[in-house]
Amino acid sequence: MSTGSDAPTDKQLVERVQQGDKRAFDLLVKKYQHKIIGLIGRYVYDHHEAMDVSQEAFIKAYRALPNFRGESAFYTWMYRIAINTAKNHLVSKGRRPPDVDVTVDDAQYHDHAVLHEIETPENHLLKQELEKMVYQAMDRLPEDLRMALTLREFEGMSYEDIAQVMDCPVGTVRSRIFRAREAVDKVVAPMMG
Amino acid sequence: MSDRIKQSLSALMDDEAGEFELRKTLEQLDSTSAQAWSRYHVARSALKGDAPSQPQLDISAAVMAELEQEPSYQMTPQKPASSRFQWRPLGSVAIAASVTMMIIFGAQTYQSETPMGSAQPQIVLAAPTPANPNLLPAQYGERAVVAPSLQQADVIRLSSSMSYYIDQHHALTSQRSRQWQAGWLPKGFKEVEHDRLSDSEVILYSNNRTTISVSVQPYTTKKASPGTTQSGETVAVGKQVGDQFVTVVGDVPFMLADRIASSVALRTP
Repeated sequence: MSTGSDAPTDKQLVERVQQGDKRAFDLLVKKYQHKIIGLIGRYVYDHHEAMDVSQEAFIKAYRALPNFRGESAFYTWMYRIAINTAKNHLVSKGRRPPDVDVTVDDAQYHDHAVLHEIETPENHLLKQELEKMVYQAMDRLPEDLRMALTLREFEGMSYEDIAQVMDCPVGTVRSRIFRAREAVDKVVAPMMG
Repeated sequence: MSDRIKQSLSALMDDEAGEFELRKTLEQLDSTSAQAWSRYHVARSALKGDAPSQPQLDISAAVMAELEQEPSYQMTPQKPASSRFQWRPLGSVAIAASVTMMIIFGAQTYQSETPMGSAQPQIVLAAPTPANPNLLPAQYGERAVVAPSLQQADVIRLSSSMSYYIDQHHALTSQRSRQWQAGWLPKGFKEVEHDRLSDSEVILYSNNRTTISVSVQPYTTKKASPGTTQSGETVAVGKQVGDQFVTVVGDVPFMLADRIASSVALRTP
């Protein structure tokens, strides 16, 4: 997921929110909600509580957005708000926040030794099942669609570069990647209810 | 319709959608497409072995419901770093304002000071009032002394359309250098012509089969609203880039025209 300082889409969305378009914020929430819930879940162990705190974090972020000047990536900024909201929540409940923080990188790659996301065996199975099904869907794609999506997702190539590699117009690359995502989405959608 | 929006969202998550496309997508965004956007990101995470353990969770509706009570922001977009070019519109405005002031001043003087039926009015050139008081009016040679008695006489009325030629003069004499360029072009395109009009810079790019024209002018002098139109195979995209209005016209897909327009930037030395 493009979350670093080189995430132009996040910057564009933030600017749209700052110019009064709340729908852009909805896209940011939809993009990052699972990461934020996962991050807050390492501090607040109760599942429902974690969702409430995540919601509060996004609302705080919206309110603070006029002061966001883009010196850091949106996700880095959002991550700070989420951590602070989680810690404040623990303090307000009379609980002691952990001494060790999750770093942004840890938040992206769930392997922190001290703070563990609430992960029931059922959730773990669901995660594995989802990944397996997405890979299978990728394998079933026609060669041109799979190649376009692979170059984009695993090599991080721009549409223009993919167009050169695949010797086709940029518009075709865009269309192939979209069709590939739609095909993969057919297995993801049922799992997301 | 939904597929078109979803395709734009797919491009958006790859950082491949321009500002104009984003705006259009947001305008037409429906819940089906927005949910697809969410699922595309989950699929992306899954492909990288980082799928959420509870993908079915969705707090976005609750967040947005809460935000309904919140005000929408109305911050103005930040302008790019200052450049010499940015002062040109101010110069044009100052000249236009000065000419206008001269006409108004002249008309008022004429109405209040010239008696009805007076014959052979005296003529004097009234000095234009600079729009910016910090700017001194320039003149050549010795400072002319205008007798006070003559200052209340009639004024030579300049046609307001002359301000166009004044702007053109300034553009031709002081801004011959190339300032703007497309930062991105489709493969095979190169610059074949460059020209300057009174208030805009026009660059032609071609790949020997198709020609694309790119026009850059101060946003305040634009002749059309931002947007896109198509006539036959020819697409025209107009959009604001910083404080400039950029138009791209040519027989190319809309997506490419939009991307070219978004890439227009000051030439690097």
